[in-house]
Amino acid sequence: MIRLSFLIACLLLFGSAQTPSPSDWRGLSPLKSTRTDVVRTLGGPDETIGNDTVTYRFPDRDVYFAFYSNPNCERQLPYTSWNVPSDTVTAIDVIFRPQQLIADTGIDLTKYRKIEAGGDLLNRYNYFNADWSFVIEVGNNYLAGYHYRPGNKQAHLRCEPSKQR
Amino acid sequence: MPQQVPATGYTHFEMATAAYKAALADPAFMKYANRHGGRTEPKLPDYSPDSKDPEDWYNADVSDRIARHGCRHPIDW
Repeated sequence: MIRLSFLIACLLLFGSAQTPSPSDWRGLSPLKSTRTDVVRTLGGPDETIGNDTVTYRFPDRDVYFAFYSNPNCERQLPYTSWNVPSDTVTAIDVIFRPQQLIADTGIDLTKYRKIEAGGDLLNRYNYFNADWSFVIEVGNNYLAGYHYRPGNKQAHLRCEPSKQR
Repeated sequence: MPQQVPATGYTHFEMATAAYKAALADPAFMKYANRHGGRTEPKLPDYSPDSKDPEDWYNADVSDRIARHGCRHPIDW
């Protein structure tokens, strides 16, 4: 009986670790969390890319936080930014290293909308949740990562890039 | 232990980030970049279906600008 309970507990623990939260990563989410919240939760970043992207490295994943604020969309920027106060989290990317076969993760992709990623990478797909705020990226049947972005309800805060290729 | 190439390949953001880090470590390149409008930085892509840059050419351009400097041939050679 004890062995059975242990097995069930292990299965629950393993299963929950593999099922991503679509709303936040470790309680942090775009347009709700701030740079202070990130540092309070994770400590100082391992790397910074410019002033507005920070990286945290874990044994099995790299996690990026972006702070692409653009109050009143006043600045003309060549990438998507957001009409929010400075130091607001605007994006979170979780990139797995090494990558698992998606079939081994237990993630049910049938709940998500599948869209081909396009670009140079073949056989790569993004699976979106209902309000487009959470993306599971899969390439060649391997789990590449999770992407957290502002959803449909926050679309009015988007500042379009100033130029396209 | 050498890092394995991910099974899913590298995204434009990952390529831009690698090039950016290499550039930061190269004083000669940084001198060149600062004379030509400064460096541009990788940004996390916009995955929205409304994105104006669905294939993330912004990061591809960041990567190309750095790689082009050390390339013997034109980028479209």
